[in-house]
Amino acid sequence: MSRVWPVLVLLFFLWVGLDAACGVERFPPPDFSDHALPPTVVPNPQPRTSDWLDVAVLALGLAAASWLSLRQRSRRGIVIVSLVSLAYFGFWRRGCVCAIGSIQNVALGLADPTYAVPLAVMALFTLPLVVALIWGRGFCAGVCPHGAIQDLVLVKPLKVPGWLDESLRVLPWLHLALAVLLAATGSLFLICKYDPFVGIFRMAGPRFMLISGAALLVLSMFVGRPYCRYLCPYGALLGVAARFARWRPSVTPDTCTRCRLCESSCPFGALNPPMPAKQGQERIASGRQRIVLLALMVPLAALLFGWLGGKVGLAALPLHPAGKLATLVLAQERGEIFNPPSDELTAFRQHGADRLTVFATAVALEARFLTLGRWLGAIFGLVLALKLARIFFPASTPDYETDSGRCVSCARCFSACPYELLRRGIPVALPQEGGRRGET
Amino acid sequence: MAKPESSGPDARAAQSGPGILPGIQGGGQDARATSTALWARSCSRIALIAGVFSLVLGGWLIANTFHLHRGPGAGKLRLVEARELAPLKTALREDPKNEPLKQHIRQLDQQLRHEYFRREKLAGRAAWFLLGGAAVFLAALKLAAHLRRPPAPIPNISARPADAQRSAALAAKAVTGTTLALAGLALALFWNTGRQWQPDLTSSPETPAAVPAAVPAAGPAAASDPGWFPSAGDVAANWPYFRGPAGSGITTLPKLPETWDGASGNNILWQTEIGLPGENSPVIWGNRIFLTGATATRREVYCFDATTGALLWKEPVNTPQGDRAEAPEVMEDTGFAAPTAATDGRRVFACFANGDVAGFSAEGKRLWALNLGTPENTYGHAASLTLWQNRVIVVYDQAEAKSGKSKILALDAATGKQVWSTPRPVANSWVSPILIKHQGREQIITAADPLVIAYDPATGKNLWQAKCMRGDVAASPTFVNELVYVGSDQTCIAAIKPDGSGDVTASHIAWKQEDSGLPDMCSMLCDGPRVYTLVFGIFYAFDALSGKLLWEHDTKTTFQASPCIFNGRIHLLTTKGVMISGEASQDGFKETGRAALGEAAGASPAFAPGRIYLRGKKHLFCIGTKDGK
Repeated sequence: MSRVWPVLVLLFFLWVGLDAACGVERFPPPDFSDHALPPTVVPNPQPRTSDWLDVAVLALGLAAASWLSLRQRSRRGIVIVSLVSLAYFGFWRRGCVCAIGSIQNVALGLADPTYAVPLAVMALFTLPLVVALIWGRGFCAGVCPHGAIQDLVLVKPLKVPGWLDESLRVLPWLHLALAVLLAATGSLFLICKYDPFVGIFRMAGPRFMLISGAALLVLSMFVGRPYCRYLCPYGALLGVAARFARWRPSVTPDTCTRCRLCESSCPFGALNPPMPAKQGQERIASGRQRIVLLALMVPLAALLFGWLGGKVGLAALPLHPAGKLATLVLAQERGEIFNPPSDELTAFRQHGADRLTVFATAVALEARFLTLGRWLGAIFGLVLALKLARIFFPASTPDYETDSGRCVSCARCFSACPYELLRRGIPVALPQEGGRRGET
Repeated sequence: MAKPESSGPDARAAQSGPGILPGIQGGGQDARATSTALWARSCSRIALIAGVFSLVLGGWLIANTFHLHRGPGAGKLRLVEARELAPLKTALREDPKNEPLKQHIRQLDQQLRHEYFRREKLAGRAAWFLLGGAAVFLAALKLAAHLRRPPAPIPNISARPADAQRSAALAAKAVTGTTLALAGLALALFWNTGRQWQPDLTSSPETPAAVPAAVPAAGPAAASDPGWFPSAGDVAANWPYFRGPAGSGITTLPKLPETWDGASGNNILWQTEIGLPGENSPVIWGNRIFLTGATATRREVYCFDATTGALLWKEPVNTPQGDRAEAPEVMEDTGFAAPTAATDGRRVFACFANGDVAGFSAEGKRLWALNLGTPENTYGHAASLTLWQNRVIVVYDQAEAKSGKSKILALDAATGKQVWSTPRPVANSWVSPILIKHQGREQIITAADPLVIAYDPATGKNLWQAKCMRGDVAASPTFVNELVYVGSDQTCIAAIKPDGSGDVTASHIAWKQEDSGLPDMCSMLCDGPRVYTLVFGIFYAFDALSGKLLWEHDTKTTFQASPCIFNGRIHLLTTKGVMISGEASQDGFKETGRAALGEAAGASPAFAPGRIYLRGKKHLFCIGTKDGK
């Protein structure tokens, strides 16, 4: 514990320092009447080339990360890719645009026909998913700056208990559902607004963003990639895609002898122990139980969370600007006037806008929030039900295998396998039954 | 295929024997161990240096921050600005043509700016250095930890991972628990969340030809439905009580007419004679307008068509006790029908100076009537009715405080039966109660000599009281800025925080103003920044948060109607029926126009989309434009 304190103190200073360095103070203009204020300059939009450069770097990074983790099995290569990605997508491009945030653009594009998703953003959203369908989560391995920064600060990984790990892995789906709800209704881009690392990449940002970023970085020193595992909505999608991957990282390049040397090598809880397959009657009974459980749980969870999702959707209405205005106008009419009146209300009153139009918009919006909330809630319930089914009835695996949905292809576990070391030309002794060391 | 990785940290880790293969190290083990220890020590030292560097830099950045931005008066720049620049600027204001002084100020100002931006630039660079220092610190720490990692224990293979299934079962329970917890949390948070925006809010077209069609097509059966009451949205969309749904006299309805002339008929859409006199104000629900009128012997309730002005029905109010009793003595300005009626769309409720209270269906069928006893009231009973859910709230103050005759009661809207009644230790008053909701707590706010009292509308329980009123208390309170504003003509204007309980006289009165502008007959008005009173023709404004008198404006006329706000402007209806409109600011009141009704008026205005309804001494006027614009 004594080693932790200096780190915490340093991180505190880092946060305070960044905050201090980048806090914007509006120095008042000179108060002489003849002082000509410089005209407000609106920066030109970024050239399209930079967008496509992002896509090219992303594609290159994905290819490199997949090749390095699956073919080269090189941790060092992954670290280099991580550093490059962190420098480019993180500190150079300042964390925007990123694949995680692109979920919102796509959701808004699907819900609002007047919103055109930029092609580059579409590519940023699609490419990592396509790669995950073929080679697993190469994006998470080292291309994502969020993953990279957490991975690179991991000093002393602690094992998160399985029950806690499984429970917390529900949160990315919740994050995803809320982000899609708010983006598709045009309310706000939740993922971007509360992105913990963008403040660090830009060395400026709202206090909450900087605090949460610093806190997650401190946590990342002891818990492997907490954001990726327990918050990242894009990670949830990638996890699903990666379960269908044609090629996946394998701990051993040869035959697994179940020596268990790799057991604690994964800091992300993505290594599954062998699970014997059920045989005969036990197998049939288990299959029946699974069907019954799914038949009961899936509709029940979908209905329950669908209903709750509708409620959450309705409660989220004031997050939409038009919903907020209507709520404020109604509150004012009910005598619940706030002081000072919000900017929206002041503008509304000064503009002489029609209250009925505002209310009509709120009625239409409310229906949209309700419907979307129900659908997303139902999908969330479905995910929970399937997750429970997977835990209750785990797939049989003969050997130690990476969990393809959770493995971020970081290549840490490879060097724990004696066969991998042999492959690299390093003489090793192969462990035998009871932990006794054998011959090379 | 490229050559696979065979060196580097992983391989070195394997060779240096952390855990996996200590048995094959051979003779070079000690040398390698020594080398590893040396590397680890070096890394620790680098981490220490980088850590100290980062801490120092971070400390400097914090100090710089305080220097630039924080700590009022602590930073050197601010001190210089305060001690040197500010006096110079003051001197320049007194001698604006002093060129050398101007030059001096410019130089000093430039120096300060220079210093400011220099420090800010330095801070920006230092932040990058800090980031670099932190990166080196973390990298060195990580490497040191890697090199010092103790050998991993050789697992006992014969002890198979039998706990896999056990941990899976535990995980299943945990995820089930999480699922249920999430569902429970969502239920707890959003159980009461429902659709708030009813389509009928939008059913009113913009043209004033038809006002909101919110009146349900309900017959007498619906009117006597014991549990029914309108939604808050419906109430807010109408003008159901004295001074509107919030009792504030404020409407945000857009584009209401500002000019009219009773003599020429300009913007007077219709005018209809009212049978009996009364000082009560119109209340509106959908296409129906309700009024009351009374003399010493007769009492009537009227319902007018809001579109055409046609009298839809009029019904007498009689009760055996009221008819038998001698008519109370009332002041001419008060009359026998001063209390404004209240409506919930399906029903309308009326109260008169002789103590008669009655309920009618919107179609004019009498539902119930009762008499509360002739009130002992100096000028005549005038407190208007209000509604809470399906209850009619009656404030019935009379005689002296010590007489114990004053009370507040809630009557069942469908039957007129008393739901609760609470004695009030106050003297006779003329204040109409308002309903407020603060921090989720609904309250009925009343004011009389000597107490402002808040009641729980469900039970009639006294929630809090403040002793700050004296004399003839007639101005109705208003609730804005999370403060209740009250006033009486002999004591003060007070702003009270409505979150207390018991006697809040000492603890919850935010401010009191005792010097001038104490309200008489007209009710309080607050637009957020300012509170207004209208006393004998003088319009006063006070700072809403401090009570400081801002200005007074002599209108050189007299008023009975309470001030109101529409189209974002303040409007004052004189006793001669002239509406004075104007814009208020922190500095004063600027009249923007006057519109004459052509008839004396004492009642407060009522509003519907595109239309203003004014009660004159004899007629009900509908003001609006024919094209609705």
